[in-house]
Amino acid sequence: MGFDQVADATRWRFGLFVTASVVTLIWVTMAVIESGEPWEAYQAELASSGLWPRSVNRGVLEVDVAMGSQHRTDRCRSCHLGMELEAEPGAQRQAPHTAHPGRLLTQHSPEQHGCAICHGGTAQALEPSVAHALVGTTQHDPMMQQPYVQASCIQCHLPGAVVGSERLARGARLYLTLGCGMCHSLKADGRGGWDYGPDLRRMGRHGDRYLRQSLLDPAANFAGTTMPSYQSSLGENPEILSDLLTYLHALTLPRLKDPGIDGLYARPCTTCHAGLGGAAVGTIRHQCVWINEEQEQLRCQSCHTGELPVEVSFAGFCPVVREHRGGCLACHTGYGG
Amino acid sequence: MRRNFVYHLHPLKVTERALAPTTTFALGLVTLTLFLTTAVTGGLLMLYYVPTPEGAYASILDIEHLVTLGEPLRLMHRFAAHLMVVTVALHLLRIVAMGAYRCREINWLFGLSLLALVLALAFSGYLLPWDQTSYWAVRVVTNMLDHMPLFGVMAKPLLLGGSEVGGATLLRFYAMHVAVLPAFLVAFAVLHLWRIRRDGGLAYAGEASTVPAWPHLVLREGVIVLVVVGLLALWTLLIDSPLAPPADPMRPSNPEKAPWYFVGFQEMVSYSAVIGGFIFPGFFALLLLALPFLDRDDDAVGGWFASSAERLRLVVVAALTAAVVVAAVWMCAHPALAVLETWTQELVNPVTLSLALCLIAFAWVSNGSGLRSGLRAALAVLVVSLLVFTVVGICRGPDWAFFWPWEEYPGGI
Repeated sequence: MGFDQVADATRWRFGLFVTASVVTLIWVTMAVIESGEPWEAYQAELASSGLWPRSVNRGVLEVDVAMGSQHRTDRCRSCHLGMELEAEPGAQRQAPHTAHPGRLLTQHSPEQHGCAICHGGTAQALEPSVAHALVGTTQHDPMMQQPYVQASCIQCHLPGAVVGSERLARGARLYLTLGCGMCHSLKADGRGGWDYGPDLRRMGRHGDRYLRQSLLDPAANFAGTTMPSYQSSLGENPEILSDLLTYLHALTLPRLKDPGIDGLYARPCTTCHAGLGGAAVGTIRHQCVWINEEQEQLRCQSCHTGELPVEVSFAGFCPVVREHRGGCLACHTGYGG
Repeated sequence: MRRNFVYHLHPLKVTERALAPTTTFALGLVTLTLFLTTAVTGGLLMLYYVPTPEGAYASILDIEHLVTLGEPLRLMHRFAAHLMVVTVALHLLRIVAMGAYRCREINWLFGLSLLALVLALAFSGYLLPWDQTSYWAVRVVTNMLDHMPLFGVMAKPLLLGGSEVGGATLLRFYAMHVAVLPAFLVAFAVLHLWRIRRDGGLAYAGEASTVPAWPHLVLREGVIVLVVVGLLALWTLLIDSPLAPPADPMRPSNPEKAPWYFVGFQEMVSYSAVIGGFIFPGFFALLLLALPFLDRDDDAVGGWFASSAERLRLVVVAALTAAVVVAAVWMCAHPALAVLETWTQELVNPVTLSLALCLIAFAWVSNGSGLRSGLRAALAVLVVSLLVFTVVGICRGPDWAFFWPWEEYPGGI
């Protein structure tokens, strides 16, 4: 037998030394690469640009947000602190340091509410690819980006009831005028609609691509469906399609705060819908986008652009009527009688 | 007694043959290293993990993003666990191919217990992230228990702590994963190592000269342990394994898939619940358990196959099995077969075909090369079929349709 014990021991001692060195090198490399976090680099960038406020501590900036059914740890500000800094004219900051557009942050403090309450995403994550899961990827929470970000307003506000939620209001109106509620229900919402199609409160979770396809070419997702294609009314105009999709995405979101629906609808319709009754619009400053835009048109014609159905009792199935509960019967006398 | 036990865990002398890499491929040592890695990383993960449906997913996100080196820690734990399933299976195949279970019946049974424990540990850990993948995987696998008469029906509610996967299931799986199963695994692993020495080292029928374990064996062991640990660290750098969305019992993922080591059984169940979910696995397990008692031949133990004629027969059996099962799976998707009655499909399907092949191969090979070769042929048929079913199962997409791994699922769901 050719087993040389001395040579074997020498060879494997050397082998052990080499392996140990290589493995140590791998482990050190791994530790160095994996211990660096993106937020550290971003905070360093912001600090070096001179924009970093001295009052703010460095490190992971997190907010514990508890509203309604939602409870989340929001760490978005760890990278996006630049959002809260005033945009100085002329100087263009790069992502993630860009300033938040509009004046929304003055009423929605990120220090109190965090960012994900409006923008979605996986707020707990500190890795951009995980934190920024986008609508349509069905990864984590859908991230509410433009053009859909107004969908988030529905969590605390009635669609259209506040300035800045115009797209959501237009989407909600499209929902009514296209008659989505004639077949689809929004059951858990306390609203009406038929059970013919699937509950729309859950469809938004299937993602943007799926919703788009279901509207423009429903047969692609459900062979033999009776749902008509909305290619002619929605497909030609991407803006209108985005309006409706914003509302459909909004339907999947929880209600974090009671926007006072019952109190609102307990009043006579004419309190708000002044064009239909006595008090004049404009005497008090309405924030409601619907009232400001439509005023006199908020009647049957707002949904039924053509001839009205002959059967007056048909109004009983009208989602507008259902949405407004009993209070509207005062106006829709044909049904109430 | 205690001395006897401790001194038998590691040898003082080994045969020169045992040092040759192709004798064992160090599969046992690699598995042991992987287990120790999962024990250390798992212990650290336990410091942060919260075993409740509300807290589990969030705590994994914290581990990934907030804990220093938490991400490689989780990846290493996960990869070592998956790899352990592979190395344990390969180790078992090596023992079968060498007939090394002869005169080592007890240790063979210890080994099979370790296989079951490794699978149970991997599976119980699979649920813990509480994301869509893990939640629906565990539902699929535990639903397969419905097809097992008596045992399955009794075990399912005990395992789940209810009729469905929920908070009670998560807590049970966690307790099993961090306490019960590891304790059993350590006990059986120690017994396994001790029995090797008690049985006189690696099984070998021939004569072999010995050398001292230090330095020849210990240095080799050191190198292998380091290589495994180094590869695990390299893996965490190269490959990420992102979480799926958080578990949502109201929203089934499509496809709902078992973990890869059980997806072969899921594929078999898709043809016939009783045959794929009970008869095939039951037969497989019984054959493994009975192997050292059926094969009474003590000659030629410890070598790779008895003769070139035997090897040729086994290769033919394996290749034919692969071809036939692949063809059968492919034909099952053919619309012409949809006209068959349900009861016909229960009897005529790829799983029954592979069971039939198993008997034919046993008869053919044992006739030519003896009982041991016949048993090896039977096992080869079962292993190759399970491999084919596993690969096909991995390739299943929405509605259990076939997709190549690089194909995108339609519909954006």
